[in-house]
Amino acid sequence: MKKHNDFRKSHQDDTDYFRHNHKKNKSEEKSRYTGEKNYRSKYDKKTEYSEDRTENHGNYTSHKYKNHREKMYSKHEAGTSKEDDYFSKRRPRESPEDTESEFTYTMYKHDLNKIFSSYPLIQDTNEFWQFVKKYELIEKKKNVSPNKTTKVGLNSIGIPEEYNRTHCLNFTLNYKDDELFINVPESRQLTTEKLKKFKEIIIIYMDFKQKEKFQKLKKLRNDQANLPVAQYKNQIVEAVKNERVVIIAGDTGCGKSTQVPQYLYQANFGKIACTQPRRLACIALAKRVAYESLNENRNEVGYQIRFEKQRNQDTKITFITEGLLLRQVSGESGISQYDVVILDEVHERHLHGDFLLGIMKCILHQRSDIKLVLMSATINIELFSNYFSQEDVKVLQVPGRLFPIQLIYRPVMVVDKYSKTERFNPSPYIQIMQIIDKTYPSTEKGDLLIFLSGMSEITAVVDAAKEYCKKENNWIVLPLHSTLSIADQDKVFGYAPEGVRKCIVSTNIAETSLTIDGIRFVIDSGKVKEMSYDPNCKMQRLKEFWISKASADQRKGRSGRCGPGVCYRLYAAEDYSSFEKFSTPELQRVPLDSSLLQMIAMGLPDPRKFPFIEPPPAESIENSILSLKEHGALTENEKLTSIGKTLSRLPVDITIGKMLIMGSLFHQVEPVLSLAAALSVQTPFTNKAYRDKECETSRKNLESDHGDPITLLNAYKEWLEVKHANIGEVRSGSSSSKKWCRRRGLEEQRFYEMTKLRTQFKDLLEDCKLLQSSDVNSEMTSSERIMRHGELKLLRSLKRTYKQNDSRKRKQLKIDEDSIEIEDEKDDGIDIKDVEFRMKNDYSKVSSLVTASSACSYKDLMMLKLILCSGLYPQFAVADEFNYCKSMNEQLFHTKVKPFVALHPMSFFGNHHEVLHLAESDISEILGFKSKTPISAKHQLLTYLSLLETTKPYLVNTLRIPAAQTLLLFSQEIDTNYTFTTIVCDSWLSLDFPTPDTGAILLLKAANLRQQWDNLLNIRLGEKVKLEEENIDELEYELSKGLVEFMHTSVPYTIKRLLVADLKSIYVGCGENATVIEPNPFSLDFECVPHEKKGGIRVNKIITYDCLIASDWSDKVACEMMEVEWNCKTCDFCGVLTTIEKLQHISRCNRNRKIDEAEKKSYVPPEKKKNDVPYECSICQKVLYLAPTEILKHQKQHSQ
Amino acid sequence: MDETFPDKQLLVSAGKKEDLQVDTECASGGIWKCKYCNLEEYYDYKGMKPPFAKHLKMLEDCYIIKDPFSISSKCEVLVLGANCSICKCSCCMECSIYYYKRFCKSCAIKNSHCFPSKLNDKIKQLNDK
Repeated sequence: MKKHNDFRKSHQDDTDYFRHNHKKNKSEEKSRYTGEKNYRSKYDKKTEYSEDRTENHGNYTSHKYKNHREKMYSKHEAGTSKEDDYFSKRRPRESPEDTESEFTYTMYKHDLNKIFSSYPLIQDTNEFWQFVKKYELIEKKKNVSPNKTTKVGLNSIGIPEEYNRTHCLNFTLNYKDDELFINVPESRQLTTEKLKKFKEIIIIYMDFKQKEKFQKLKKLRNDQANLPVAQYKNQIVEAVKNERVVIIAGDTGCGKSTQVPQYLYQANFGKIACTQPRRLACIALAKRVAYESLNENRNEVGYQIRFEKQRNQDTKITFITEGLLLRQVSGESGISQYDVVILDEVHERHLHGDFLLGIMKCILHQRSDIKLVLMSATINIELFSNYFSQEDVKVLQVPGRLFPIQLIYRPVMVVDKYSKTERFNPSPYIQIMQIIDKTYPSTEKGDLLIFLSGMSEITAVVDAAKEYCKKENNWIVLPLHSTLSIADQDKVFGYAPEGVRKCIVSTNIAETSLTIDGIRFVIDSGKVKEMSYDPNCKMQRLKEFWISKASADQRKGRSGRCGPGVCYRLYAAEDYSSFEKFSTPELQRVPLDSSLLQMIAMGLPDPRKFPFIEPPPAESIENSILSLKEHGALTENEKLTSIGKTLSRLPVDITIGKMLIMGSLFHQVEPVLSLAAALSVQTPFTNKAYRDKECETSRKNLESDHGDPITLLNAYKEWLEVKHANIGEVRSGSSSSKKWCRRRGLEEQRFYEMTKLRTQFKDLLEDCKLLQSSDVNSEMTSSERIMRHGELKLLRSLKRTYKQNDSRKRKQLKIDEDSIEIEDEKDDGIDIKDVEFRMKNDYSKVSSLVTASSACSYKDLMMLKLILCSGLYPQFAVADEFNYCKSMNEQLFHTKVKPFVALHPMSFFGNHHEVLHLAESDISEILGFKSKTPISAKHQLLTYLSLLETTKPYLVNTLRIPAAQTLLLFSQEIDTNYTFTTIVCDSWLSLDFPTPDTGAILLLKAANLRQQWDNLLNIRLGEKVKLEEENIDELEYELSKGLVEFMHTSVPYTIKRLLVADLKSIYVGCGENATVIEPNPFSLDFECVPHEKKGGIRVNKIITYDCLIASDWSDKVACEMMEVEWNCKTCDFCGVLTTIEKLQHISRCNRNRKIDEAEKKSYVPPEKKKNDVPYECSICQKVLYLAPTEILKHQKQHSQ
Repeated sequence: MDETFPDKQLLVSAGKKEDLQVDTECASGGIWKCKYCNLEEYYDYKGMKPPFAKHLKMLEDCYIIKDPFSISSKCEVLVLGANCSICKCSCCMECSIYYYKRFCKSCAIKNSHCFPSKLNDKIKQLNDK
């Protein structure tokens, strides 16, 4: 009880200064005070040590809350209450009657400030002057008696007998008076006496700051010591020293994440890695731990996340994301850089975390000097301890710190769940808000957090709640989900004004990822929308589920972090007992492709044997392996290929990784880098960009009718251009790019991420030797370098200012008519992202980024599309044949495994489907050829980045591509009939080329191009003997020229989707038509073999010739061919040939031509100069490459 | 003890006097612990003239760290504590009182009658902490 009294006393002290403002309320306050005593006393002990928290959000009792408000004011107005407190201790207060105004130091503020500009005495001069004001006021009240000159003697313990406050100061300034005041202009009133006095005030102020700082330190240490985990410090350290694996299980608030790394560091472990599932947690924890270990100015505590690294050789504790540690462990640097690895939040069971567990288990067997610490909530501890049962494992349980929570089940009747309109019915939630309003007086602080499953539910509840509180204005309603802009997300951390509660309507993001202080009420819908994964069609599915018991408890716990709480569950207790115990681990609901590839690259021989803590479905592993084979990352017998090796080093999806590799083959790497980066981050287009009329019109010019990836690239390019144009605006607060984004409904953060990711990709490609490193700086002139130097200096100082202001992060929310604004947003308007961007990218870099992010010419665009396809294959979709007569919402597409997929409403084609339809003029007729589907040279397919099922399956990030050409270039299985009039790709799409020979020639071209492409790839990845750089370039030039020409070929055909039933009746079957083709026009060195199932003959890895049953049309074409003579375009040959004979002829002709060309080339003198022109000299009968002047010389030489 | 000083001079000469008494311990770095509250910290410097804050002159030997709560370039300090002038034990700022000299909690209480009456409350408070 003693502590309790103390606590109150100190707070009375605190409010002293403000008392005169509240005189009226004084008696009221007192009565409330005693009334609440019971409520308080129980928790006082706790509140005291968690004062840090209560200071931020207030407690529920009004007095405390008021205190808190006052403190907040005082923070804004420079610590008034605390200073006052300080004075009150020093001298008793006297009557305030005395109001004689004469000399004040404030009058000479300007002059006196000169002291501080020359000497580093005081940081915050404003605060200091506030202090001076108050000091003078009190001095006046005290009616200072001029007893200064009294002489004093020292007593028995050696101190002066008479009191003088200067003796209470244990330091002085190291300057002589005249030295200190040298810059202060002389004036009549500022006498030497006054200046001396001023010096004293400075010292008193500094002493006050010292005391304040020391209190801060003391409180910090007290808070630490009072954390539940603190009692286990020695046990933890001992366990880690003695065992190989230690599991620390503790619930929310026990302090394990911040303290355990510090304990280990203090116990002389010097290379500590601590993983976190979330990036933000890494930064926040590193900051906190650095602060607690008084280390903020050194580098001993650091972090490393995907885009950022703050660590160096001195760093002892590194907070790192799970994914990144996984990469480090599997990379060259390996695990040896750490002596303890702490895996935090393992119970959350994220993909990378689960893989890390498996790898650490393996590493423990290889290395005896590494310690593993697992930290989890107190759920499912057996799972982890059993998993490590063969290693020495020790489990330590730490109690959490949670206040009691009242649990109320209020199941929603099925009828109530959805109102008549089938829309989600928000009324149960509003009812609870009403209950809260009625039951708890508004003076009792505490916010509400509502957990819902998804966006539409959130919108419904937010709208209804806003409607509900329109009159009273006593709620601030804030939505919270991951697609919100960062600024909007940050609002949930703001303070609500007095008498107003925050109502945060959130997805499960607030369950673990975000912790909001001050929550007293929780409403749990019991539902979650979770991503699941269908490995068969590679489709992600966002579906609503009941939550698990574990997450229900987690949600409940959110109400008891700061004080006793209330949790309303909108389901029955029986529902709860039927919930699954734990949520499904991520490993079982996401594609495993890249993770498995990484494991294989690490040296795991068989991914099926990986020691998973809980293995994923076998089907999922098999599908991933298959998909890796399809992408050429694994060979048929599951060995890593060179593409696979490179892919495993790129921290992106296989598809994006493959794009990067292919991009680096051609001289297209710059736009591909930008595109890959743009496709790897969340889309910058917010909902607003599609819903808001103004946004829609202003972002119109970004749209590309080729599809979303190109639109995205355009947006990035334009954003860069805005940055580029305004490179000089460093000083001005909010950047114009920010405005540009806001107008178009774009999230600027994503562009910054793209830029960082792009740099990272570039570095990685350079690492993999796929890209030559470039040094931009060397190209700068000296004046440019000086300018840049100055700019950097300015930017650095801006960054510092930002950091300093960062401390007062939480902001006051206010109720506005429509939108909730955060106060003083404009005041400290340093756009830190902009500053960081400018620090990394100078003018020339930005301008090269601009050019690097554009694909202007047809050729560039086509190459970009091809590179994209090479990564995305087999993610192609074909339009439904009836799309042309259907409305926007009914447009359907079919992928190979997933028929009837819709276009995403937030995509280009989702709003402009007509671009994909054939124009009347593009459809041609061929006499006698009957087909249900139109004949055209302009059929198109869509390639897509992902499949997502929400209300229905959608294609996400689509790009249109010419159908036949793309299919022939990328399909893994191509089947033809005897005359090549029908070509079936991947047993999925059937192409009919009614015009004789067109199909055959197209296929031959495709086969040649594919061969060249493979060739180039193998050379670049170092599989084949290195050619001269010049020859590679030539190869590449020829290939890309060929590809673009090929894509541009105009051949009429029909396209038809084959159904399972069709597949049974189109092949001739085993043993039929197995005539060996000699010579083989598709690949000279491939030995033709009959196809075991389809019949026909395989002419290369992909193409099976003559395995399709001949149609009437094909027979007709074959007959006609016997009657018409054929002319070879390259040689003079003329005669009657079958299609395959023609192909044989053509490829022979081509070979001959190439040999001729090669011979011709050898005549060309090697040192060709820039302005050389070919000159055919009639006398020497040679083609010479000479400069114009040299030609004259040459002619002269003959004439002589 | 009939020696008398004018106010200001007292401070200065007191400093000088202490200067002579300084143990040569003003070297840097070490672990410091308060005898009373067990606050334990690493200190950067012990002495009267912290090299990283030239503008300050301590009037006693203090345990000092560079201010961990502000940016390092600002050369601010945080004084952790000092040794009691009577019993020589090390004590933190809150477990001791400074009046012309440093007195730890128990020495201050023991000799509370020797302090000016204005400090009585303060000394009593020490005991409560």
